[in-house]
Amino acid sequence: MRVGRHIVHREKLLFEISREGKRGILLEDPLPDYPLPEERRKEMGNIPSLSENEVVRHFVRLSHFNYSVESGLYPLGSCTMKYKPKLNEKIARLEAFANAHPYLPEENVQGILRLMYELQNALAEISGLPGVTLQPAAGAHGELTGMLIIRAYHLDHRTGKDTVIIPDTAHGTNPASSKMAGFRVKTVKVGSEGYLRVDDIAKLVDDRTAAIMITNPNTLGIFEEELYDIAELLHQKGALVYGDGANLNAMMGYVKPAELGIDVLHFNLHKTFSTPHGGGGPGSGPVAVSSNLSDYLPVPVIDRRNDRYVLNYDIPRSIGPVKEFYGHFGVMIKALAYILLLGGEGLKRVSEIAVLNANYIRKKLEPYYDLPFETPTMHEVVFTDRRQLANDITTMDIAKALIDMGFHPPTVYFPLVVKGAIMIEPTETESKEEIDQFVEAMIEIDRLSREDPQSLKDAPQNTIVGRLDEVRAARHPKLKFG
Amino acid sequence: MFIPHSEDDIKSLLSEIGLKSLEDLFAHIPQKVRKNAEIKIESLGDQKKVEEYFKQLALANEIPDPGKSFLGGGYYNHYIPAAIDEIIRRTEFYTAYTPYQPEISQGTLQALFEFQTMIADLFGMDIANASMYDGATSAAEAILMARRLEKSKERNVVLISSTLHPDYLEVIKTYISPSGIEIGTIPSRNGRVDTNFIEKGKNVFAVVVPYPNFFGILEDLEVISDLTHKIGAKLITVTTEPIALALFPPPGEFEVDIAVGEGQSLGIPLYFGGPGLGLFTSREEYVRQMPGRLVGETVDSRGNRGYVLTLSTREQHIRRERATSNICSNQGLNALIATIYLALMGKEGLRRVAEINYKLAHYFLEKLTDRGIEPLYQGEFFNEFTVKMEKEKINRLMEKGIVPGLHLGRFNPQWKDHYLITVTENNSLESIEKYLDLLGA
Repeated sequence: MRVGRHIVHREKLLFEISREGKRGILLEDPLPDYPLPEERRKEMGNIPSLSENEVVRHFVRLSHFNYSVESGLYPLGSCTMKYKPKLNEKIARLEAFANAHPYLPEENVQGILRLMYELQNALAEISGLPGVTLQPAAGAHGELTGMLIIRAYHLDHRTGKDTVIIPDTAHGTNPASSKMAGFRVKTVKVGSEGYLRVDDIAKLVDDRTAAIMITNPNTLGIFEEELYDIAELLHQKGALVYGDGANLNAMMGYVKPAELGIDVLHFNLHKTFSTPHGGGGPGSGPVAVSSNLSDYLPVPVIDRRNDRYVLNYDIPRSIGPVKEFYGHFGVMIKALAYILLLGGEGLKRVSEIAVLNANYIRKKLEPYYDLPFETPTMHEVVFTDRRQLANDITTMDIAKALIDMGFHPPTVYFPLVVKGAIMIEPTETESKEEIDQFVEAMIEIDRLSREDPQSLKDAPQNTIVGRLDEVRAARHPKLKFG
Repeated sequence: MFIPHSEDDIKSLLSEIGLKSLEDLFAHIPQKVRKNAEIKIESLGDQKKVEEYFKQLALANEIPDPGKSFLGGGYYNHYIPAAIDEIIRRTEFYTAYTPYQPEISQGTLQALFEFQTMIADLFGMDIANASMYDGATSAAEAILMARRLEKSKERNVVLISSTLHPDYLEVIKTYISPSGIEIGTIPSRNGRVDTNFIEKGKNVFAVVVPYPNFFGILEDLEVISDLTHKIGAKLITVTTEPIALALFPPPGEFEVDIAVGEGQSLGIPLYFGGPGLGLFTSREEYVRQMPGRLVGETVDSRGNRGYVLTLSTREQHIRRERATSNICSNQGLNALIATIYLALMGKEGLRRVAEINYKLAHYFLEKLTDRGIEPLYQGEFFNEFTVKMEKEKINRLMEKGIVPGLHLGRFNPQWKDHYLITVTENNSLESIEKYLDLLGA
């Protein structure tokens, strides 16, 4: 059995353990007699009083409740939960990197600026798009940045175009980012084979079309075979192509995004380039653009002048900065270390094995789970709960049952175009052994759906909490203690 | 490298799939898009070589001792307790992702609930979200949120104090440029916002004021709040140094509607400006227009207390183009850092850090004033203040490895002799003495 029992403490909230008189870290006051201001804050709310050891124990116990990549397979679709190299963590903690204030003079931070410059170049090489900004904080932030750049382009050229075409398979951030960038959104349905048809796009493209936002491979894990023609069509009509790079793990060394006709691409360093997911961040979402769009990049960009690295703020048509300072440098270090360790050959290998693992899962699970599209699979595969529904077992039940078997479930109920979607992305860092165990678990769940469906309905049983009442949480929101 | 497959494994997997080689997996991709596919990046060789390379890159920097740096201006040099790194290095925390499956994410979720509680309380506000990217984007999103809350379409102006961090203003401009919102700048007088201008504001839906402001000074939130609400607008405050809120009355005591800030001071290393931590709080009644992730308390099927992401109908994965924001992730691990920091320091420890900052900064300014270097502006400040300094003195200090302050000329040519000096608990009395010595008589 993959999962056994173990002692895991229930842990209260900090505020419930806190007691007056317990003391945390108290730094020594070098000027004990120096006067304080008259107007002072009187109370500190729920900020607790605890000793350091109690605090450490608290968070260690909380950590026991978390499943992580280092616990086992974490096959969230389009999230690319790959192994986080520990070398990256060591390098990132070098003091010179951790203690550098962003306002230090350029002369003091030449190593740091050089690191950023090299990452810019690496991402330009990987995408085939020369203009790079490292500033965006996350994928969604990169999307907003890219769409603002597209907006600036159209304003500059006075085209008056205000509409973006977005497939129904797109991640929700795509239309949200377009809207924030001032566009209206038109949705195009994915074709019956699971990829976009240029004919369908042609019906939607008009004089107001500023851009299309695509993800390749798309969220079904399917390569957008007609993308080259779609891009050509859009370019002919004076529109641009935005590429959501979340699924880049599928095609490095095989397809360069620029060759697909993409003008603007964002990367997710925390997906493709192994930086930690952190429980929801911090990520990093650099953006690469074609040369004619480089004029609009956020300021500053790292440039090299003779042998010096500089922060270049002299970009007259820049959209402006999208966040304070220069981007998530602490994350960039890890991404560059990963890229320089693997090199182009290593990155190609990553994509090969990522696609291999996903195809293996598809082959092994096809006899048991409904596969909505016959089209070739890339790095992720989408199944549905259609067969299991015959016994009233849903995608949700399948996911919760997987938890009891020691796996993080795949992404569920996304993409929206597939009812009951189960989106599995193993990544290249999962061994055949781990994947075989996952396949076994899924097959077992299918068997149980017929022979003991109640056991699936009751899952998860092995976790510190069972299924949680999300309706209650939304109806009577309790967002803080007290 | 990190691929656990042996050659035999690969052969075995390929054979199960019915393919001969790895290239076959890509055979369906049209030839015309496969040109120039090669990624021309040389590997450095092995892990040892990569480590060496980055050590050299690190050595190619001259980073001052924390004690010798008097740089602030939006990012702060504070003492980081050792226990923080121990906890965040636990892979259960840093290799998990967004807590979509709450049953196996209670570590992340409970910590975020604790974060929301303490941040709301630090700001004196009703509710806080699970964090945003940074202070500047939080300020921008606060303005967009205030606009959504505003029922009257005519109210299209946001008044922004000229004492707000200049970089924050630039980010706000980038974010709100598609919205048609008009920015009115409130001039300053003697380092503080000129409140007379607020009263005259027309069609204003929000007023944005820093607390403390870019020059280090605490704005008079009582007056500002009165005037802002008098003209029917919402008050948004922006706090780049939240440690100040452990000493001074927080925004919540002044009827602030949305209070945002930068949480880097709460245990997060500098890392050349990022990743930071966006803090976002507001009145409870505005919750449905709040951007970002929210964690809520609930119960499970057995009656146990648990935590879940909630009110997701505000967010992009449900509402798509009608979402309150496009934001998807939060700052995850950095929010955890802040939670641990606040717990480790505790009520007393946090208050003590704030007191040390205040005292050292005021002591330093006193001594500077004795030497003829006066503050440019009057008014209560926390841990930073603005003075005029001669380039020659600055150079003398830099030569001795001291970074004397932030040159404000980089933001505005009118400030070419102005320096913002920041003093924190990392600066000892000795380092202050050294600074004063080098200034000469």
